[in-house]
Amino acid sequence: MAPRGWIASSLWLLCATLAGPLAAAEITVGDDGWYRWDVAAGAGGRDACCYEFRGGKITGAVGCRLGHGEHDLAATGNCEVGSDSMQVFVEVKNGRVRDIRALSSGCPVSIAGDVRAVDDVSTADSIAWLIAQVDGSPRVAEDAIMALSFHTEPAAVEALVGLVEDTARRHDAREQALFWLVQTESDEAFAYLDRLLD
Amino acid sequence: MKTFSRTIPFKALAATALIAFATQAPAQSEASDVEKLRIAAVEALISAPPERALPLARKVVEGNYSDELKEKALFVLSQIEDPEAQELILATARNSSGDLQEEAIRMIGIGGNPDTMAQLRSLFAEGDDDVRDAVLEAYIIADDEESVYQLALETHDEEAFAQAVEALGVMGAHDKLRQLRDQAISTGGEASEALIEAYAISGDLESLRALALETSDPKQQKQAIEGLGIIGSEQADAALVEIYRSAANEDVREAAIEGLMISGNDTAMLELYRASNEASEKRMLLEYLVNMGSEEVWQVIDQALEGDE
Repeated sequence: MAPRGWIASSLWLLCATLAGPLAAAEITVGDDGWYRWDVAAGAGGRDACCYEFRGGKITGAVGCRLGHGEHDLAATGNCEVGSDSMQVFVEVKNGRVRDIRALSSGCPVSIAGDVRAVDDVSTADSIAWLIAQVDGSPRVAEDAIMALSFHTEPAAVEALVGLVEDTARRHDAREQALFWLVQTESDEAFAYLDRLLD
Repeated sequence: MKTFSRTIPFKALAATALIAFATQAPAQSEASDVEKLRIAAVEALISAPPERALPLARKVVEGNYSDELKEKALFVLSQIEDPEAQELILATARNSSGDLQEEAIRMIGIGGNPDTMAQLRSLFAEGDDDVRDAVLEAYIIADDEESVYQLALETHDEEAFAQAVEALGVMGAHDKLRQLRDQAISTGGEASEALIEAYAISGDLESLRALALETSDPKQQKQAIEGLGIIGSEQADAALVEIYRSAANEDVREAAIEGLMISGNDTAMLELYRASNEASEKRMLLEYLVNMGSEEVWQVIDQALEGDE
């Protein structure tokens, strides 16, 4: 039973947090560098972090270092990462979004260089900004869809269903949205799958 | 035990799931948009909690859906340790036909549930060649030598026996294959062609060497000698050279050469060529070397042109 459950049991906890405030300033990222905002976390985002892996099993969260190429290395020792909020990190390079990470607010994160804070971001704004990134490179689109799924339900589920049903989008992005929809483990997500099979 | 330790970013873990997801995406170009989404949805169920995945997988397996979608659902079910999931796969294995039935049987092997695996025996007894192959594949996947051995013992169908014995060969089940031979001999029979072939497939040098030296049944001896060539190991090739050199008749000698050709050992054949003093034998060995497309043969030709041979 290796494939089933290890992601779910280790990384996603059931939760039902409602969406954040309805109105907030629009997210603007411009100059090169890292940006960060906080937003309410759904099941996936509550304990999203970098994990230590021993003998095929996750043994603990150790925190993430961002901006070090493809590999996020350990920052500090073991820590508790569970939180009702999460931090969304965005890296802009040469005027383009290059990297998106959504991590639990309890996850220690270190970044080389300054991080610009984006204040008063609502769940709706965060989701809207991430949906816009799905039109970017496949890698950024992948990051954006995963980050979307970490937001609170039902907003995250609605956003993911919207991507799945948007026939104008690339099919791989729609399939990724479907994959992350399942990972939310919400009733709405599985009700949608049931309808899809009708 | 060596312990592997490193830090895995959360994203990498997620990406692993996505990669697995993406690798199952091909061959859908003809499918409709809805069908593609359904396939993606069912594939994604693999990482859903069992209690969530099972009702949806059941809906697909029991509903009016494409075989491709049903096969994806069967895989999801095979990963659920729940009697209901096992029963659904078994029902599909029993009540469907063609590719879907065979896939269901294989999924039983992937799931490896002992109770469900035991039900495969009746399918083997009642099924055609394809069903039997699928059952054996399931046992191979589950690495269940004992069950395959029992199938070979129980069947009265020569073809079914050969299939089971071949599966034991693929599994490298030396002991079980030897037991089958002992069983055959104890009832007045002999090692069948299928058994000898299985010894070769499994790499059982000891059994094949014994049969290769047994002169009471020339046909069986020839097959065993050639089987040594299928093994293709250094020891098997050495046994073939030894058999060639000590051969009591031309048939055995020819079988040994055939074995070396199967093994592709042109170096050993060239040594035999050089050691021979008989023109007819040298010509025969040279023909084999040429037929093998051996580079070594050019040494012989060059030396002959220089008048050394």
